[in-house]
Amino acid sequence: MPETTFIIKRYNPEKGVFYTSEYKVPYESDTTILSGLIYIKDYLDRTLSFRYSCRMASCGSCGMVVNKKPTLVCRTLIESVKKPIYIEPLYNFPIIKDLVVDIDIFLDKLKFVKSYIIREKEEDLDKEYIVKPEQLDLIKHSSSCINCMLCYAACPVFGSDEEFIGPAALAILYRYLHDPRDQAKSERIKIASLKNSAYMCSMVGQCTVVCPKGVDPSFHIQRLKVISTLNNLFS
Amino acid sequence: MDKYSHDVIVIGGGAAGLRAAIEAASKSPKLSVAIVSKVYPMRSHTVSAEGGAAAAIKPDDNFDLHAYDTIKGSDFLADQDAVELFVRLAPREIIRLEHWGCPWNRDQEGKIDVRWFGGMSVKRTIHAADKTGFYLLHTLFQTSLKYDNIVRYDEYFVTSIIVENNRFCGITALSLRDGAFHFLKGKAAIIATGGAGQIYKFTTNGAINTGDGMALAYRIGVPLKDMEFVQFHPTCLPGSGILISEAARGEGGYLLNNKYERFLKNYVPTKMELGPRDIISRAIVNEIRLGNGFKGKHGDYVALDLRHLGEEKIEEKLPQIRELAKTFVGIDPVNELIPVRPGQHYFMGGVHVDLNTSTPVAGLFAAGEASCVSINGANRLGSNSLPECLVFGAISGEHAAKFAIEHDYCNVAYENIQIEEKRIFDQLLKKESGIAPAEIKYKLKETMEEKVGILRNEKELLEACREVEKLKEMFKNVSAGDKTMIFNTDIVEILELDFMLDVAEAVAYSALYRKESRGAHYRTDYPERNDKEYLAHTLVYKTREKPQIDYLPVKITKWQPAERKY
Amino acid sequence: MEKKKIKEKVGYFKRPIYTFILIREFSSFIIALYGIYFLIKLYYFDFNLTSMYQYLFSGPLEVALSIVFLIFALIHGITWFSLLPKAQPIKVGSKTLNSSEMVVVWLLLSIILFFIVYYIWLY
Repeated sequence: MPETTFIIKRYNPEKGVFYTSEYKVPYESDTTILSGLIYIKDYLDRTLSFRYSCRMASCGSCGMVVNKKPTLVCRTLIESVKKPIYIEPLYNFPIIKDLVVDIDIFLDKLKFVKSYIIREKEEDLDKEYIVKPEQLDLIKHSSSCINCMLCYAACPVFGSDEEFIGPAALAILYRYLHDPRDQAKSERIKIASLKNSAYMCSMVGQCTVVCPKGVDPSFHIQRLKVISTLNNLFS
Repeated sequence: MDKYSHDVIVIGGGAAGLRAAIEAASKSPKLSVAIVSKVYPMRSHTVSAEGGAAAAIKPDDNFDLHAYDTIKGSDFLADQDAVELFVRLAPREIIRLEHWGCPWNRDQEGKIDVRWFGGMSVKRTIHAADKTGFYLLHTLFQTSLKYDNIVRYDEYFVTSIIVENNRFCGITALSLRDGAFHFLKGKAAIIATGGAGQIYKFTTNGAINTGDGMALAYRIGVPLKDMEFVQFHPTCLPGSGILISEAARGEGGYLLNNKYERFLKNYVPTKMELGPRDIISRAIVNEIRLGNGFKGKHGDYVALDLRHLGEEKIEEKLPQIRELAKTFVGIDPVNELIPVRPGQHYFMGGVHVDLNTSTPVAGLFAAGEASCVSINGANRLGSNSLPECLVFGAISGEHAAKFAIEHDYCNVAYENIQIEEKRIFDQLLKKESGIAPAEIKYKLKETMEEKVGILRNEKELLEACREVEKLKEMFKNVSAGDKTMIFNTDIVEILELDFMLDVAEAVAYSALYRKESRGAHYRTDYPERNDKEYLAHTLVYKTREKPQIDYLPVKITKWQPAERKY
Repeated sequence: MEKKKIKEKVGYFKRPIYTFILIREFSSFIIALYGIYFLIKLYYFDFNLTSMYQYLFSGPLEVALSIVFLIFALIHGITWFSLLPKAQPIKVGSKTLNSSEMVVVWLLLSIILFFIVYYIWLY
């Protein structure tokens, strides 16, 4: 079995120091980077901390920076990346320990963009809303976000100012703005027009490049800019 | 040690937990509801559910039809009053989710679309592409943000439930962020921690599915029900165990053996690929035993053929299947066959609860996969689990809220909490040296896979029971390899392993004592169903010695047990 | 218990994906400089003495400068047009144009514009 080296950038929170550890990991053609990390945890170094769960790119736990690129390690094969593999915690978030970062700030932003359907009056439970398939297509991509936070790591704007609502939360704002069942359009456009919202985006476009689920936040943010500009112009 | 108090404490942040929390929080804004989860709620394993959620919402469907399909699928072990309640409430829950924004697939008129699923007699599986669980979980989580009286404890690992005089008092939890040990005082609690797939080697479950809630309840004397019924999903990718949804067959996919024939014609001729999961999994195992499997580096497998569906349909209805097959086995299902084999998927059993989801402990409720009401009996039908989480999550939220309004906090003897704190910090963390948890974990997985798998027999089950006992003995020598306090995932793995061992014990013993074959529990030494002695739920209690087994008769309302033939 | 949060600086030059953005943004500055340079040259241009082509590339320094400017113009053009479908998607029927199709459209439009300006200037 071939072997490769994992170079992991680590953080010891008790001493407050960064350091690197190197491990030799055997792999096959279908071994993912996550399996490699689990191998390290089980057999080489039990002090290494990282998050993971579903191992099928759905839960969004295992976002890390692999060879300087934000990556979901469960869906990336060792074979497909440059070796030795250099792994860092996600950029732009406070580091808790090793590869574990604190993403609480995103959950605040999610709440801030009002990530739920708002209606004047709730309908009875025996009646479904009529939503045409083409209306559903409009939110197909923006509703696929798994909150893996790769886009925040790839966003230098968020990196230099964490006030920025950021790619994923803005994509989710776009999703609720375009949901035919939602009745809070003006409220949502107001959020999109804020200083730390869509306009803060300088259109780097890396959020879309790193997204493992094809969400395209960059597109959604540009659309939010257009929508809120037109709205503010004609109201 | 810190102290917090909440009216309702929900342990687990998956579909059942979130639904329960929302229901409890909406009962009264004065109620304080806590969601305590060892991961951020959107990481919960509901996210990996693919196929859909069943509910009788279409005019060609009715409650009795859904109920009978479920009961027949369960091999007549489901409690029929529970099933009737479930099928009546399921459509309301589906519509509620649609009102909250869940993007269910639509037909051309804009109404909710349905698809075929195994064991169902009409099309009744509501879906959102093949990522239903993902959409459902995120809809629930994002909706939960609306409630200011829901407090989240993200990344808090619950280590024990504190009960006094058969009344729930609170939980102890370890905050992973800072390593602090907390006591959360509560009036009522809901266990919604999901399954325990990690006790098997080849499983579709995520790493977090370690049966925490089941073991927590088991330890305080609450019986676990029907633990021997473990569902094996027929189609998982060899090696990784990644789930290939039943939706693939619901949309018209074929299962082929190495002679390229649809071998299910010899097993379930009327249903073919849409047979119930237990029968199809056994059929695949049998085909492989007959030498009709393809050879692969992760063992023999059969093939799932979607080629005739065409690229457009696959992209529209099964996009995730295509993505998974491409990413993890390098195969595009549009032109190639997907290799599949059965793998552990779901626990029909769980914490023993009644129709109101309450356990024998006052103020303690359970919902979702962690509980067993029982609507799934000996075999769950695909797409019944998501509505189960919603229906019984809502019921548990309602009853927990009611209990919290009617009762006050109870007085806790703090010595009990200190004992728990000592167990974690002194016994596990400070112990100088010991064996690594991985060693025991992999032995346990191996044992369960080989001896408590799809086909079982007396000899192997006995061996499995002994092996689990031995591993429990070994566990006493485990110590943490990481002695630090902040985000110590090593200590989490040890605590999880402790839970897994308890659940594995319950599964192995329950299986040993059920000397018949029913649904997912197939004994080669007792291949027939035996309604005379075993038309009953197994209850397993934890004792100091071996687990104690008891039986509870099945509730039958309208449908007498009959031969289960498809 | 509130712990001090450890967060690393953005590090534009340590992270390749950020460095790339800096180059893109910087390229627009260079293009602006070229605009000024070109206007100054144009100001001193005498139509009777030489042709425009000879005047612009009259020495090795001019040629080198032009090549540098061309490189930055290409960087900016390509990265900008690869982002354009997000800013202003163009729909032909039910299909949205992708970036390479947009570059083709951009090139065609530029060539047409060039000839229009050229002929207006010529006559």
